[in-house]
Amino acid sequence: MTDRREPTTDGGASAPVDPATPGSEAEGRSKSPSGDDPDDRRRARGIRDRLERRAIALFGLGTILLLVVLFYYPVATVFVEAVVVEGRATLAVFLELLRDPFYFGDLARLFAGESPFAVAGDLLSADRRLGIVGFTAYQAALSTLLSVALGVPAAYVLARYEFRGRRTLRSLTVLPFVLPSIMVAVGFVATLGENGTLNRVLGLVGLGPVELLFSLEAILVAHAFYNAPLVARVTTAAWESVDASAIETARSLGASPFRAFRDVVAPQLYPAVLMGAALTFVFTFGTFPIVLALGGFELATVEVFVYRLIRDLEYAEAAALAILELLITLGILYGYLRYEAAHVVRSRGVRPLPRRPLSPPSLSVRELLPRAGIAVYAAIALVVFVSPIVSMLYASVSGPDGLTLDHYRFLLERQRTAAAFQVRPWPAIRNSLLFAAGALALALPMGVVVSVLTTRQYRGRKLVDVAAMAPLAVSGIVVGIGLLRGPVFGIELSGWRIAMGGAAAIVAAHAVSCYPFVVRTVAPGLESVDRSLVESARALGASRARALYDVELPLVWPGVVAGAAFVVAISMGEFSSTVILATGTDQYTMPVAIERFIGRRLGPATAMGVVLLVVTSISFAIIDRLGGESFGI
Amino acid sequence: MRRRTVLASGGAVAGLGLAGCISRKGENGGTTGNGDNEDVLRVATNTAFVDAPSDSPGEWIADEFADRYDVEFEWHTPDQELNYYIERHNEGVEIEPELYLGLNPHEVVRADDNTDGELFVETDEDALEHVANVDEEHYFDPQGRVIPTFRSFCAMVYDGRNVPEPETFEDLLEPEYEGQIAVSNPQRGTTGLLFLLWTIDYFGEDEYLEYWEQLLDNDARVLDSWSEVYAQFEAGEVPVVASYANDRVYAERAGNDLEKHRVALLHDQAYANIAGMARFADGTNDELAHEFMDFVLDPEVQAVIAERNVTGPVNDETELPEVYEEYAKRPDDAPSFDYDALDANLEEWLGEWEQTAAGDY
Repeated sequence: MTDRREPTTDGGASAPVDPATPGSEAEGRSKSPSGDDPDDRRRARGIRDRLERRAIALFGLGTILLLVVLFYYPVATVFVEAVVVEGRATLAVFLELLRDPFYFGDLARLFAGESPFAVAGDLLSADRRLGIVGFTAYQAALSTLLSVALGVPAAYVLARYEFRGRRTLRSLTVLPFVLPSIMVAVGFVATLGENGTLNRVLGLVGLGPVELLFSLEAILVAHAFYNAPLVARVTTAAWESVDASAIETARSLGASPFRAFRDVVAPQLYPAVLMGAALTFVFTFGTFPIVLALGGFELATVEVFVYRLIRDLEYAEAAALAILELLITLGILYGYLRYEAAHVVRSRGVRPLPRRPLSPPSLSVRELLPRAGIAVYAAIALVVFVSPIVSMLYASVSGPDGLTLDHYRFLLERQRTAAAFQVRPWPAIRNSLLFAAGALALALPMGVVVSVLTTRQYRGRKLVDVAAMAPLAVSGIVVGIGLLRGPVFGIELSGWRIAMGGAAAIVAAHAVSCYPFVVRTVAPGLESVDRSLVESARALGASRARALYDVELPLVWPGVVAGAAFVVAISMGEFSSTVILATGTDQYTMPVAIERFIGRRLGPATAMGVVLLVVTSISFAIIDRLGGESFGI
Repeated sequence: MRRRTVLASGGAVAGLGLAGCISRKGENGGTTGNGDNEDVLRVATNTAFVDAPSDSPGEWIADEFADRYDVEFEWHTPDQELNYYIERHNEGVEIEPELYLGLNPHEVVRADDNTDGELFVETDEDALEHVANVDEEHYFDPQGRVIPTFRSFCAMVYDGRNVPEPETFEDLLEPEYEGQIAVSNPQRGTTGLLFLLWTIDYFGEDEYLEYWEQLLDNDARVLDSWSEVYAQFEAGEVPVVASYANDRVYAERAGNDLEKHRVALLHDQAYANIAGMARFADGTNDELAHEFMDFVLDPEVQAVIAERNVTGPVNDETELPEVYEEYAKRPDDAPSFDYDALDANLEEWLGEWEQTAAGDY
């Protein structure tokens, strides 16, 4: 590792400010056609060069500022209540929680001072008690396993086979992310319920009925619906980046296809699969409405209680519980990041593996067997991923007397007649698009800069990385109440109250909650970029930012595109901080409209849900086109 | 090239974002408009009262009040509902609206538990002409702050085509209802809380948990919110749900099968839920606030609320809309806990219930 200078001090520049950096294509393009005074131009260019040199530092500062104002400070105003009770610092709230068997089951006795052996013995026995936190971890672990089991085959098909609509399918994988949980619940009830599609199909072939609703299984399947696509997407990227020549070399050295897969391909997939798994664990650990909708209160998770405590304004206990929740999920993320750092794959996917046609070229067992497996997987995928969405589409066009377009007419009617304080569909669509575009424009540079800053070599950088990931892991309701107390009500500074709200704040809040995805899709790539390339560029006089634009980003561009897709998905689906920061109904988005349209009849809400799906799908397709057909995600 | 544009625009937006979201305001700056305008009445309420997909009285009230009194009228409906104002009060930030409409007893208890008790002020009833026709039984606030506005009843809604009518709480424990009942989470959904309170009222503090254990043993589901519960009912997954006694009014209006939408009272009771209105202590315009409160109690307005909110009026002089007369079930016996009972017990009841219903893993 060479000793690189920090851009915060002098931008890392040893090259003279003027004349401009040589040979950069940007210079050629920027020549002003108006024929200004050359001195002016030079001065302007000088300023720009200086800005460019400090670009990373500036973006870094901007990112930190946004995070502090819209995340760390607001969250801190809530968290502090756990440790400062009636003006005194105390850990009593934590201790009480840790010793409560309701939350920690048998483990609570450990915190209460019982012998570890006795507790371990009880935990291994049949009538062990997990407590709410233990159960939450248990279902999150199972959800993670299921998501990986359903996500990796999808990645295999998307990365290794060629078929019509492959790119479209790939660009739509993240779609489940945007769906509000009530819509997913409706979809799953229609799919898995007693009168659901699955049971009707099973009935046709003389099987069933199976009771899946209101069980742990239903929750796991719903979690897989949300998270398997995440695993699939990141794994597809890794798989598509596997260099074919490495496998060919292995094969030519006598390795069997299985051996070549195990020793060459698989090690390049593990980090991506683990990343998907780690994120899935984090999300399903903090799961909330879907658990109660498809499982019931008996299967309540930690977040249910955090939510309840916040609602009852019992902030001390809520904050303590949320902090414990955060510590557990950040611990998992930290473990993953350590693994990621230790398993950097130096591959650039110069020549990706050729895809096979999905229809078998011959009828040999070797060709048919994997495709039969794919057919079985496709059937499962139809039930888990497609059928809830189809059920939703169907619900949006069905009424008491059969098929109808009434629910869509309702949307048009609302658009025409809604009062100022009511939600209208079109502004909601427009705002969703605008906010997503804004969030994208903010989150991409934020994510890239944080990736650069966390892939440098310094002690504790993984801790910084984990802290940067915190927006993924902190309980949404805690962030919400923090946003109210912080930016919305205003932060008092020497007699002035500085309040924030409105569209700009919503965009910024979206960016804060989205950018970790960009970091996670971009950082592994940056880490694997050959350092000598960057160093050559720097030696030739390029600023750190210029080297990033011109050398590193093109190499990790697929990761950037994937990050962009996640940003759009998260932003389009975001609900809680949007309603908190909005200063009026004219800033509401599609998920808010869906929530408002929920009533006795679900039709209007599902119709709006379909609009959300369509708009998001189009956005994904556009990102996919703009991103270019690359070997990556 | 593309890359560069994206990143450059990012810079621009970053700058704009920061500049745009920091707006300086005076110490007590409000969120919108000029707070000093005398001729604007701002009223806070729950979203459902002004923006429900079926119908809601908010729009009519806003227009009618503005017309009658020649003032501007604004609804304020923060997503966190009353908690939003509790937070504002505790953080020392000014509260803009004059009043809050749609306060349930348990919410007032929660507000008082978490503030110094001065979020609302006592209402001067002498300034309200129509209170004379509001029956004493609707009042729940011993401190005289909350004036009753409308009421609803929690009852069981069942699918008459698939299950017999449950007539008692004990009926719900029968095998024929096994796995057939859903209620919303009392911690979150109003109907769930009302149902829980109803069981406490019926069985008493010492026995309601036992009843709940049996109910849960009979595979009754406690789902997230009323929306989920009702969605499952609509989808035909659960034929018995805790909902409102006015259910058939909606069913009739939406052209649903009235056999599917039947209402059962248990022990000829339905638990009453009163919603009231109260003045924020920060309010400044006594006259306009009183005019609005009296307006809401006006029999004509009460009838419109009954019609559009599908809730019962509190003014005895109100002429009920026909559909309400015909399709809403009104119990002879409508128990409910008053402020003092809830204040003394609610937290404990919910805590006990929570321990019974969850955490078995």
